[in-house]
Parts: sequence; C-alpha cells; structure tokens
Amino acid sequence: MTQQMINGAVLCAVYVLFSLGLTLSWGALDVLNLAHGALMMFSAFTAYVVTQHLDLPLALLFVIGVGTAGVCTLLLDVIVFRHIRAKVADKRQSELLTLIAGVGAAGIPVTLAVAYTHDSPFGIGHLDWSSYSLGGGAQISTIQIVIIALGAVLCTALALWVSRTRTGRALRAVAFDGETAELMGVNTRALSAVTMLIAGSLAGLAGMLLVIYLGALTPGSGEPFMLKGFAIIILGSVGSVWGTAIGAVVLAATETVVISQTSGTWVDAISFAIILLVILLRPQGVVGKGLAERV
Amino acid sequence: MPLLEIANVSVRYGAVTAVRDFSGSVGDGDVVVVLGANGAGKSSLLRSIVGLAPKAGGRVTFDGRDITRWRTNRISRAGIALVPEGRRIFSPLSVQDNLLIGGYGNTNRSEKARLLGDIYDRFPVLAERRHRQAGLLSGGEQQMLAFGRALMSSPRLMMMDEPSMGLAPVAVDTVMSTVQSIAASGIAVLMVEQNAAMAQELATSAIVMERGEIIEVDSTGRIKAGVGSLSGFVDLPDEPADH
Amino acid sequence: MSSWYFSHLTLIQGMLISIPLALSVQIALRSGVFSFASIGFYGVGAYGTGILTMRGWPVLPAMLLMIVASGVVAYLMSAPLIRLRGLYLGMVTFAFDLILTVVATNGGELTGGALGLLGVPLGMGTGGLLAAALVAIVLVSQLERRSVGRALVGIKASEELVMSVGVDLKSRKRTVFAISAALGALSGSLYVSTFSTVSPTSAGFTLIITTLTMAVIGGTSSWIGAVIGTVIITWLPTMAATIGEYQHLVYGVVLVLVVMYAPEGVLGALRWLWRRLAPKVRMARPSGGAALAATGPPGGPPPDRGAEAEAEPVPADRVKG
Ligand SMILES: Nc1ncnc2c1ncn2[C@@H]1O[C@H](COP(=O)(O)OP(=O)(O)O)[C@@H](O)[C@H]1O
Ligand SMILES: [Mg+2]
Repeated sequence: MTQQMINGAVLCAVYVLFSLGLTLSWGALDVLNLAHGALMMFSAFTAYVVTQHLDLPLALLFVIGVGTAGVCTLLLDVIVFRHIRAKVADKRQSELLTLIAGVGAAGIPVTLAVAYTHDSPFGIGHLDWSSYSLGGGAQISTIQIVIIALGAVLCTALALWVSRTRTGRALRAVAFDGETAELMGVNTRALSAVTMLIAGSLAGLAGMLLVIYLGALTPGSGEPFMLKGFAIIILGSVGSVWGTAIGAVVLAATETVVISQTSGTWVDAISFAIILLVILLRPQGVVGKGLAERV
Repeated sequence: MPLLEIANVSVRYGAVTAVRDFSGSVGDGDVVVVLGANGAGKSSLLRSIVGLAPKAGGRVTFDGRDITRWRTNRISRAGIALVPEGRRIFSPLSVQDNLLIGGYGNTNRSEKARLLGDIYDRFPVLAERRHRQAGLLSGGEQQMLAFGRALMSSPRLMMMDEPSMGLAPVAVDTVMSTVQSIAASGIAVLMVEQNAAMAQELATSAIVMERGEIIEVDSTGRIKAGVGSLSGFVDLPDEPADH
Repeated sequence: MSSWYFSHLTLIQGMLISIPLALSVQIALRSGVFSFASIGFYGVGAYGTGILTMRGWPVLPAMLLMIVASGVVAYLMSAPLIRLRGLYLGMVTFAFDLILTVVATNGGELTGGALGLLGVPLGMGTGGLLAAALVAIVLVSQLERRSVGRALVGIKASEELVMSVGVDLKSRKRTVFAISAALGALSGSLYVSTFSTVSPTSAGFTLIITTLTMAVIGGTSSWIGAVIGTVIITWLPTMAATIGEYQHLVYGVVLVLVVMYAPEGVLGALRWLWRRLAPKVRMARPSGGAALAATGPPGGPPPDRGAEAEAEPVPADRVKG
C-alpha cells in the first residue's frame, strides 16, 4: 500500500511537470502544442545520443536534455505558431492550423529517434540509486524523492509566479487580451517566448526524469503522454496551475489502482476515458479556473 | 516642436483604406479632438499611432523621436497611453491588477506605489473595489479604471477613443471632468469623440474626418456649435456601445 | 507497362485504399468538424472485417456490415460530440482512436492481442479496390455538388448564414460525422482484405499523421484535394529514394510548411493560379466579368467574384459573400 502510494506520487510528479508546460502555453497563448509529448521524448533521446559519444556528468545531461526541449519548443513557436497567429485572423482556424502544425512537427523528433534507435528503447544509465526502507517492505529511492520534490516545488513556484509576480500578472493579462496587454507596455513577444521556453523545458525535465526512473523510453513514449496531459488539463481547467496538480493526482491515483488490480495493459485507456467523460459532461473543466481568472 | 507629429499617415486593411494621408500634431497642453461619423477612420488613426493598426505610409514622431516602426509596448513605455475603444479592461483580473498592468513598464516599486495611491485618491470607487474582479464594475467605473490604468504609465500624451461611448449621462459628466483634470495636470490629450458638448467644452482644437480624410481643421481655439460641417457630425446619434 | 504495374502493385493498392480514408478526413475538415474519428473507424472496419471473414463470412457482406455499423454508431456518437469546440472535438476523437488501440491490444483471441490479426482471407483484387475508391469519390463529390453538400460546406463558411437559411446545422454535422466514419471503415476493410493483416498500431498515431497530411496537402476544400494529396503522399517516397526511413520526418516538415504557407493546399495553389489566368480567358467573353469589374473601386482589389464563381466547380467559399 505504502509502496503503491510512493509509485503513484512519482507518476503524479512526472505528470504535473509534463502537463504544466502544456497548460501554460495553451492557457496563456492559445497554443495547444501537439509536439509537446514528442519533445519530452526528444529531450531524453538527445541526452541518450550524447551519452553514446561523451561521458558527461548527470547534471550536464540534464541541462542538455531540458535545454533541447525548451529551445525546440521556443523555435517551434517563433518559426511556426507565431507565423500562423499573425497570418490567420480567425481564431478557430488558427487553432486548427496550430494543431495540425504541431502534429506535423511531432513527426520530426519521433522519426529522428526511430531512425537512430531502430525504434527500440533507449536509456541514459544512472540507474543505481540508494533506497531507504519505510517499513512494511516499502522502499523509496533517492531518484523517487528527487522527482516528487521537483514536482511539488516547481508546481508551487509556477503558481506563485503566475499569481504574485509582475510578469505573472502580465501573463494573465496576455491570456485574456494580448493586444491590450501590449498596449499597456507588456512585450508580449518576449513574454510568449519565455512562456514557451518554460513550457518546453518542463516537458524536457519530465522526459529526463522519466528516462532515469524507468531506465528507458521508446521513440513513441511521447504520444500517450499527450493524451494523459490533455486529460489532466481538461480535468483541471486550461491554464490553471493548481487545477493541473489536482488533475495529475486524480489520473496518477486511478492509474496506480488499475495497475495493481488488473494486468496493466488497460492503464492507457484510463486517460482516454477521462477525456471522453470530462469533455462530454463538463467541458469547462472540473476544478480550478483558467489562467486569467487567477492561478 | 510639437509633442506628437503625424505626417501623411495612411492605414489600409487589405482593400479598405481607413485613413488616407492624415497629418496633424498635438503639442504639450493641447486637447485635440477628432470628430467624425462611424467608420470615418478615427479609431484606425489612434491605433496606427501606437502601432496596433498597420501603417501603409507616413511618419509619426513623438518627442522628437521617429516612432513609426516601433512596437506597441515600446511606444507605450515612451509615454503614449491609449484608452481603447470599448475600454478593454482585463475583466477576470482584479481592479488593482488592472492598474498594476497599466504601470507595467515602470519597474520602480516605490514610484509605482505612489502612482497607485494617486489614482485611488482620484478615483475613490476604484480604491473601494480594488480586490474585486474588474468585470463586475459598472460601465462608468470601468471607464474610470481604463483612465486609471492609462495614468499608471505616467504618460505625456493620452489618447482616448470615445470614452463616453455607451455610458449613462451622469457617467458622461464624470468622464468629461476627468478628461479636463487630466489635461489640467499637463498631459496632452488626443481624443476621439462623437459627443458634441464634450468636444466643445474641452477642445483646444478639432479635426473632422470623413472616409479616412481630414475635411476640416479648427485650430483657432474653442469650437463653436454649428460651425461649418462640424454640425453634420456631432449631432449623429450615438452608436450602441460595446463590441 | 505491365511490369511497372506489377512492381508497383503494393503502392497502387495502398493508394486506392487510402483514398476513402483521406476523403473521410477531408469531408470532416471541410465541414468544420475537426475529427479524427474516422481513423478509429478504419481500425473498426479492419478488425471487424478481418474477424468476420476469418470466421467464414464472405468479404462483401462483412465489409458492408462494418461500413453500415460504423456509420450508424458514429451517427449516434456524434450527438454529444458535435457540441464541442474544434479543438476539444479533435482531442476527444484522438482519444477515441487510441482507446480503440488499447481495446484491440486487450481483445485476447478475438483481436489477436498486440500482434493483431494474421492470415485474414484475401478478398480484394485491384479492380475491387479501384471500384471502391471510385464509389467513395463519386459519393463525396456528389455530396459536394448537391444542395445537401452545399449546406455541409456552408457549416464552415458561415454557421449563422446557413442557419438563417433554415438548414438544420446539427443534423448536417452529424451526417458528415457518419459518412466520414463509413468511409474510414471502408478503407480499413479494404486494407485487411488486401494485405490480410491488421495490428493495434495500424490505426495509431502514424496513420493519423499520414492521413491528415494527405488531406491538408491536397487541400480540404474539395474531394479533388484529398485525391491529389493521396497520390502525392503515396508516390513521394518512391520519387526520392533517399527518404527511406525518414519518410515521416518529411511528412512532418511538409505538413508544417503547407500549414504555414499554403493552408489551402495544392488545390488552393492551383485555384490561385487559375484565378490569375482566368481574367485572360474571360477577355474573350466580356459579359459578366466586365460588368462586375466596373463596380469595383479604382485601384482596389480585382473584384474576383465572377472569376471565383467560374473557377470553382464547387461553390465552396461563396457562402461567405
Ligand atoms: N481590423 C480591421 N480590418 C478591416 N477593416 C477594418 C478594421 N478596423 C476597421 N476597419 C474598417 O476601417 C474603416 C474605419 O474604421 P474605424 O477606424 O473603426 O472608424 P471609426 O473609429 O471612425 O468608427 C471602416 O470602414 C472599418 O470597417
Ligand atoms: Mg471607432
């Protein structure tokens, strides 16, 4: 039982990190980046490629992996998404094109990884972490502690940033009305660049933690995460930081229970079922308010 | 040299030319009113000055600097504030957050706190409701918030796009006295209005636009009611507000 | 000729199978229904037909059953779905597709688990595939041409206008949804009876990308676009032999570029060209076009109404004006 709670908490932390990036760009900039999952995988993949040629300390690998996802997301926004936003006035049409472009962009890192690894799992080592016994046969390893702590700390930091700081306030203004925010002196281009960089970096961090925790990822690992992330965001309302945290807890808990009760192959169906249920019953989200409406 | 100088500015949206070859200037202490029927291009003119509408040609100089190609946020920081048509307040944010966003370019905390205090003194309603959602304010209060938000950037020039639009008569009076006090505090004003009375009382000069072009300029002083073609515009019924 | 035909048989068959699927996405996008559901029904068609024929059903009845069943199920499913805004509909149908792959993986003996179905009886010749593709094309093109089709097209152009004209928007969207699903099921059924196998990943993420690319590259405003897109995507890898394993990378890049620079697709580009050339063609007939041109502002944009009406076989975007 304790062991399952620990496993669930780790899962939850990874989900939070991943989904926060997704919800941030969607809530603030109306960009639902469908390449987010692929870039999460790509961060771990880049680190893996580096380990094939160089022997770098883990911290440096993290910088490389997180940076890769962050910069790729930023470039995607600057080169592609921004172009679409500027060119297409109709909001629905621009959303649709953004989505299609994201799907297309996702194909690039996935194909690179498939070609390099021949579509097989890859890892970056660093598997030996010391464990601590918690009694009753339950154990927690250092990496598990790190993941849970990072999830909690970064989620809190992001919530505070959005609700308490000058730029966070500007982000909420941009989420509601970008043009008027710009009129107030907010450099919306720079702010959206920073937002995308943060969003991508969070995906990258999730990918790096995941590959170390699980030992390996595959080129296709990003896809199910997209849907899990979407389910979490839908549960917690788009753009809501705490809503995302709650959504992640719900999904991780449900999945942990299902894994322990069934053979495990049904686990992926949960997030899809959540998406179907939530969207059909309550499309505005179950908990939390959107980004502009405070945290 | 005037504070704001507009030289041969044109605005085009694809096929539609909204402003054609507009020239004019606003000096320190001036209250310039732009009059014209709906669709005359008044909003487009103001929006093009701050870079929100595309300039097809011409030059805009502010305080001796060519700001024609500047991005909107930089123009705002340089000292031009626009109170946009329809107010455009950030309705999900609190009143205070709206004001703080208005002073976004100002990173000096103590000065910002002082400005905020000034604005609360000037508009006590806003002080009362500072933690309320801005969207819950009445129309008149929202207009005060829009003014306050613009003042937070301590502008040298304030542009206003139909500030009395859609307001009750009492609120219109408040708007008028507010504009007057803003002008009195030394801020140059460039205002678009359809309200004849307001234009008469406040303006030091007036420009009349029709189909994107200037058809009359009165820079001799106060506008007299019924002068020339002015009457044709100022008596137009108010369009229903909001968009 | 015939040796070329035989050495490219798989590609030709693949192309013919893809046409109904590309059409299924095109007809949805064209109607403003951003749905990937037809990809899921592709899986349903493939598995359903495979399972039935492996149990002794003849191919045609099995296919027909799956197509009709998919259409009906989709029609029922669409009631809550079409209320959703574009993006949410996209994600829900995305989830629907992937939930089906999970079901297929967990289907035990019936679906063959992770390996899928193997050794499904072959029941489709190239002639049959060609006939099926043609039927799909005729169906969709007729839909576009007929008044029903015009209303369907109108959904995207201007929901309000169409409603004011009195067309029941909801039932139109639901019909689109059902037809799209039936086309997807048709394509899946063709696939399984041609290549005799299907696995859970067959209807997964890659198929969504590929099909979307086909529809968007060609241009979603008409069935012609879907066909053009299918032809391009089928033959692109053979044209550039070096693409090989980077095929999906190229699709991805192409998809992004098309969205950025030619959101109307190849078809849009062709129309644009035609519009450029059309005035010259019209010079010879100075009736309608010239009269329209006279009303335009001097120096304004060319009043293209006349040209558009003549150039477009389908009155697609005119509902706007
Ligand atoms: N964003 C826009 N896109 C296209 N046309 C516009 C846009 N904004 C304004 N117009 C057109 O430009 C003309 C002038 O509009 P506007 O500047 O709003 O006039 P006013 O403020 O005097 O009512 C009108 O014909 C209007 O339809
Ligand atoms: Mg206006």
